[in-house]
Amino acid sequence: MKPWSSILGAFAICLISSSAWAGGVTLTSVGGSQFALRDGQALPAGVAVRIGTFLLPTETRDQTLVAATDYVTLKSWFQPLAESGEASGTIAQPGESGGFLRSNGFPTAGDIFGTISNISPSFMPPGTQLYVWVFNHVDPEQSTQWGIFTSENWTVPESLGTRVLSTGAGVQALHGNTGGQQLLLRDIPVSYGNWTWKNYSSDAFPEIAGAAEDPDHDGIANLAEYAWLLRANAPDTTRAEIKEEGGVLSFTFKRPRNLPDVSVSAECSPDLKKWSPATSVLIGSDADFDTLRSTATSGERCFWRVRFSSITAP
Amino acid sequence: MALMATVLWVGADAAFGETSNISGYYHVSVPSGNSAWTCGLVCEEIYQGAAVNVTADVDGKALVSFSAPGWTGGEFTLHYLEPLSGASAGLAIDVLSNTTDTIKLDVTPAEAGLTNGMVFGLRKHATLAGLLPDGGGFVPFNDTIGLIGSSGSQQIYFWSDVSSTWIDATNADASDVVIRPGQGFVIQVGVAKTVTLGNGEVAYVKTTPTQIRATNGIPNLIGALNPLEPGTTLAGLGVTGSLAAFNDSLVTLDAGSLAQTGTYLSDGSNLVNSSNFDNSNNVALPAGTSVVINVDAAKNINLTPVSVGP
Repeated sequence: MKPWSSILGAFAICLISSSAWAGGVTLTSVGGSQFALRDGQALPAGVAVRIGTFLLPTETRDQTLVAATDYVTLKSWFQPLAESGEASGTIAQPGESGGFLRSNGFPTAGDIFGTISNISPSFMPPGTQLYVWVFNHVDPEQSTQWGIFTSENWTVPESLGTRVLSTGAGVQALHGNTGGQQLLLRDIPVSYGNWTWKNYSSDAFPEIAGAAEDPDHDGIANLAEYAWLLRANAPDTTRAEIKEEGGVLSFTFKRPRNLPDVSVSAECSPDLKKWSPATSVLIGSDADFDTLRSTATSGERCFWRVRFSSITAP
Repeated sequence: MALMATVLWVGADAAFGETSNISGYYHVSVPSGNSAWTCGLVCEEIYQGAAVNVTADVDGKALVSFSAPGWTGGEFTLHYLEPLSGASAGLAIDVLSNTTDTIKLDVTPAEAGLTNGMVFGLRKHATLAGLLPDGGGFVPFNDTIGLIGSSGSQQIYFWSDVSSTWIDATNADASDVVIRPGQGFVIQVGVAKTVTLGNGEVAYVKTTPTQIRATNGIPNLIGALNPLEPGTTLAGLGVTGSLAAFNDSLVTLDAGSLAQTGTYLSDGSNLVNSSNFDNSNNVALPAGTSVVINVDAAKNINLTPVSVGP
C-alpha cells in the first residue's frame, strides 16, 4: 500500500507552479494511536478517511459536532481538505468529484500515513482547525461506524509550511473514543436523519425522506416507520391495535425503547375533534419496545391514535 | 432542498409530529325487534398510491398497475380499491384479482373514470367476522343480521356458538360475507342489547369522501360512514345533492318495528318532506342508523366524510 503522498505526487507537481504559496499536512499514526473499529480491531486498509474542517462557528464548533448525529447534517458542514481530485486543496475543489482518501495500512497494518500538499490559503486559510473523519467502509454512505477526531495542534499550516497531524497525545474523539493507544470508531448514531439516509440516500428529496411522507404507501408515515422499526420500502402494518379482554376494550401500542429523538404516545378522543393524551399503562417490554395499553373510560365511544413527535436527542 | 429540509429537522427543538390512523369503537343501543344500522368504521387502509397505468384487460375490466407496491399475488381476496380523486372518488370498487404489482377491478376504466396517475387507496372489506368477531352478544341461532344484495334479495345471518362463526340460513360459514362501506344492515334481536362496533378489524375511521352505489328498483339501505352522530340530522348524511330532485327518495325507518316513519325528497339543495314539502334538513337521524334510498336510475351517492381535529 502506497502512502498518499505518492498517489497525489503527480497532482502536486503540476499544482506547485500555480500555487507556490501553499502548505501541506501529513496524517500519521506512526508513534501515536492507531485508528480502530469500535471493538478494537485494527482499521482495515482502504476505508474512507476524510480530512478537513466543519464550517461552523469556531467558538461552539466542537460542542456542536459532539451533539450532531446525522450524517447528512455533518456532511453538509464538512469541507474536505483534499479528496483525490486534480484541484485538491484549491478553490476549484468543491466542483470536483474525486474519490475519498483511503486508509492505507502504511507502514504497518492498522497505520495511516499520508500527505496532502499544495493547500491553497484561498481554499482553506492557515490556522483552520482540522478534523479527521474516519469510516469503516470504502464508501462513507455504506459505513456503519465512524469517528471524528481532532487535536488542538491540527490546523492548516502557514503557506509553504507543513503540519503533521499526529495521533499521539492530545487527540480528542468528538465521535468515537480514545484510549488504549487506539482511536476507536463508534456505531453511527441512531437518529431519524440517519434512518432516512440509510433507507433512502443522503440526498433524498424531502418528498421521499420527509417525516410525513409515506413512500411505500402503506399508510404509515416515515417518522412512524422509524419509531416502530418498520421497513421503509415495503408495506407494513402498524404496531397498534384494539383488543377486547374480559369485556373491556383497550388500545395497545408499541413505544420504542432505544430511539433518542422520537417520542411515541397515544391520544384519545370521544368526538374526533378534541384529542388529549391517553392514560397508558406499561404492560410489557422487550429489547426494542415497551408495550402500553390504554383502556377506554366508560362512554359511548372512544377513539385512539398514536402521536409521533420528533424531539432533540438528549 | 432535500439537504436543507433535513438540516432544519435536526436543528429544531421539538420539531413536529405525525399521527397514526385513528381506530376506536362505539356502542349502539339496539332495541328488540328489527332496526336498521350502518357501521361507521372501516378496515385499515393497507396501501395508497398513484396508478402507473390503467388499462382494460382482455375482458374489459380495469387493470391498474402500481410501482413496486410489495404485494403478493392473490393476496387481495376480500378487498376494494378506492379512487381518491376523479368522478368516482370514494367509490369502493371490488378487487377481482391481483399480482405483485397490478390489481384487476370489477369495473371497466370508462365506467369509473379511471386514469393513469390517479391515486387509489386499498382496504379490506368489512365482513361479518371482521365487524363482530365474537358474535356481538347475539343470541346464537336466534338474533340475526340481514343484508340486502345488489339484486334486492335479502340474506339472513346468525351467530353460531357451535362453530363460533357467523353462518347463513343453510349453516354455511358466513364469516367472509361482505358489508360494503356505508351499506346498512337490519339487526333483529329478541331482547334489546348494546352492540359494540369497532371490536375487530373494522375499527378505523375513514376521513375521506365516500360514494356508494345505489341501484334502481331495490331498497338501498345506507348510512353515514361516521362513528359519531352525523349531525344527528338527515342533512348530515350529505346525500341531498346526489338525489334526483323530486324524484329519488329517502325513507326513514322506525327502530324496533322497521316501519317507515317518513319519506323525503331532494329539491336540489334541501331535503323536503314528500307530503307537505316542509324543509326536513334538520329531521333527527339517530346515530348509526341507516335509511332507505330509492332511485329511479342507478347512481353513486355521496356521503359526508368525518371531520377530525388536529
